Amino acid sequence: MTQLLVEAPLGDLVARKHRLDNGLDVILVRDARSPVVAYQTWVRVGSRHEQPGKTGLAHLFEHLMFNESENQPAGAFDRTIEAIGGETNASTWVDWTFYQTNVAREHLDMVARLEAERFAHLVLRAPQVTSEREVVANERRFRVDDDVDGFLSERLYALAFESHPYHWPTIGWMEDIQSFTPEDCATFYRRFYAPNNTTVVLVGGLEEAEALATIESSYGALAPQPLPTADIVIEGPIASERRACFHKPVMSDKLYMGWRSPPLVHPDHPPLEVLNEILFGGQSSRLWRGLVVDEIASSVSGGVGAFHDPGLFEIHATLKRARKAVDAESLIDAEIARLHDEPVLASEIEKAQARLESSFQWGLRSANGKAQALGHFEATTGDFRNLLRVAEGYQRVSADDVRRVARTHLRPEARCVLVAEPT
Amino acid sequence: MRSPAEAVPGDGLARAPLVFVEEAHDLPVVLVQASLRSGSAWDPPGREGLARMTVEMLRRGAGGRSRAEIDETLDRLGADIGASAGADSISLTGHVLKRNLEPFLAVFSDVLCAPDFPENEVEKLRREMLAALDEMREDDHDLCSRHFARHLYGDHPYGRSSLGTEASIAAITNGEIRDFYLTHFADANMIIGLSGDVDETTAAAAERAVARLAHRPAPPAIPLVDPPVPAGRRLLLVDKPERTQTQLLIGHPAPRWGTPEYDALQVATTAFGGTFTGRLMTEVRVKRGLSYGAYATLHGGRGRGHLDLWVFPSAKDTIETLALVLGMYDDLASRGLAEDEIAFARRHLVGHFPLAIETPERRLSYRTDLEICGLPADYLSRYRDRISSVTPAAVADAVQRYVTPRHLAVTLVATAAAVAPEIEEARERLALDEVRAVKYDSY
Repeated sequence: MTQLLVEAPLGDLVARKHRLDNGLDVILVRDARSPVVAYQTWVRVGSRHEQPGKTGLAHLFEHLMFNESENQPAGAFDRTIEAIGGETNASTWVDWTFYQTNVAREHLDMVARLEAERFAHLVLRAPQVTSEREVVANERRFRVDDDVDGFLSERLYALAFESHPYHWPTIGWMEDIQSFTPEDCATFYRRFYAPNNTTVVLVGGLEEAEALATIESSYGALAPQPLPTADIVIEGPIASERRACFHKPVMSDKLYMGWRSPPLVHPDHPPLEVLNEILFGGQSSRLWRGLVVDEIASSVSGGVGAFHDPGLFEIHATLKRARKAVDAESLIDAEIARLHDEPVLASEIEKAQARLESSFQWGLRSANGKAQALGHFEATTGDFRNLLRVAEGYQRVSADDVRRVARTHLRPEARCVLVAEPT
Repeated sequence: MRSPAEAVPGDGLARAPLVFVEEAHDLPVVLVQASLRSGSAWDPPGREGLARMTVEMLRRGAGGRSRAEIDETLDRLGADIGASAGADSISLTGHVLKRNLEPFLAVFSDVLCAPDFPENEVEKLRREMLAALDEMREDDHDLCSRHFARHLYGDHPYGRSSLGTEASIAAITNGEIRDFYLTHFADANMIIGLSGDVDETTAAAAERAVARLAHRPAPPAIPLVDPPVPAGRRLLLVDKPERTQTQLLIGHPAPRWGTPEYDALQVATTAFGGTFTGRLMTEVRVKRGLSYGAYATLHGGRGRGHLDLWVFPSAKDTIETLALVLGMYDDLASRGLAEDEIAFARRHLVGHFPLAIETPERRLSYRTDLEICGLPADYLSRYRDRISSVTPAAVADAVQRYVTPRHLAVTLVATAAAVAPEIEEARERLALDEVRAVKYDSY
């Protein structure tokens, strides 16, 4: 029997989560106005579930899911979806892997059959694994080795985390990518691609009862599996500053800074998001004015990790040619010290709240956007309703909250600093 | 509200701006956009970057509000106003929460209709434009695209970069920026777009907000002559140090958007390299793992655009990949496409249509682009019929006429010390008529 577990409003729509007997969760959102359906499969496995020496396996496996299955020859999945005008893609991050297929709404049944087929009956052979290793190695060159921002981001996490899996990049270390075998992939598939480790999210022009019946008929026969227990130790705070400098073919200095930040569901997360907006959100924010308007940097941004475990609060700045990274660093230090000492203005909090509300609403514009927001919170926190709670949480943040999280999380000694200088 | 059929850009007649509205009431947000029928193709030679500098200057002081006051007001409203400049059009685009639309329109109106062009901000922007060139050169694909456009189009207006050059940015004066504004930001040259939680009342408020625009005819449309077909296979190597990967763009001119030839070539391009299971991705990525991506794309605009192929192999695989792609393109020209490939591409394009127009912002963007490029308003509603009726004979004819594998602009971003000797060695095999190299920071 499929159970309705929870339901919650999403704008003028309703999101409902059901659970099949085998543990597969299904989140349905009906939008009768939509001509399309976003079909997403969220598997609760990412680089956080990998081991040293096998980094990048979750991501490589994501690529292989577009290959051959027992009842579909290689390439047939994409060919069938493309023939009806659909879009397919997938993404792997630290806490999850998700597969997205967007189609005109009349094709939901066909997509469900194809998705269930590759979810349960993938074929993993040596030629595909060998070829895909090369594709991923090229992806790594594109995103990391020849991209200075990708490189610095990878180095920042490697410096900030020593034993926790967030230490390694989701795409994996190059030597690991090039050593995977079909057996590695088959073991991974059996271990993590279980109905009770997965949520299917459907948003768009669908009929809920029909869509649920389609999912039941496509996935209902799959057996649940025992899931590996995550043996992950959360690292203690960074005791003293960690720092590194690199030389790269850039025109000017780049500065990356990072402090450990709370998990996505932690009560400090919304105040830290508001703090981030006060520093970097919009062109009237403190550090946009201090760094970009005052011509020290050409760009600056900040972001709070949205992870299952503690992540990073990151700051990135690209300096003007005449300036050095230390010029930006000292201004950033001064602003963070000010957050420790002085309450932020009520008007600054209101601006941050308005911007966060706007960003939240625009993120829900398409069926795909709604499904991604729901899937990310469901896979990362175990409950999609946290999406709505976080959005509401922004509206309750006070100046005291901002000062508290600045003092707790943004201590000067508990940070990592990376600089890239011109070769 | 006026119908698009009434508007003839550049006909010298004064008229109110067109207003396009795309409603969707599911979210309490609104997009407001002002688009001009002028873009960076209008930049005079030696003043490349003028269109972009003009539109960027608008929100740096307007209606007596300082830049800081504008920034503060927009952030307080949870809003933004972004500027963009492409070859055919300049746009100001704002996003706002519905409840704050009225005060937002007051700012948008000042920015669009009453910019102050403060001198100190012009100088600041000039330095920002120079920094933007630095940032562009950090991204190998952006760098490759910039050099490729100049390599392919030469002196044609589409060969000019909207970012400008160090020399052109230094030469642009505040007077020239003001003149560009006065010439192009006229009501008859503008399309106002609204999407999201809007209705006729909102549209009327937006029309009032832009009623302060100068009542002037649209400036004459610049003549867009056909871009030149490359004389042979001409390879440009953009030399950048420490590359482990090569960015590679290959292309030639295409027919004009909206013509039957364009539709036929769109079908051919889709079959060849427009989907994950097309020929290009299958041979380059799936079978050989040579590149993460392998795409063929047709670029349409007001004038004739181009068709390009994009791959990015490991540096060591540069020649193998280039030879493979050129060979496949030779094969396309000489043997064409199979009927089932053509049928597949047609079905894909037709079936994709609901996704292409899913959101009100996408619908607005299409309508605006069609208007700017002088295409009829029913282009969208007839799109599926047009594509469905493309015959294999029409595809074969378009491939015959427009796919010119012996006349190509080829641009690579790579480290010359590693790749140049291999190119020289393979020059005959690749049938290259010209090979030259430039430093990556020379343009």
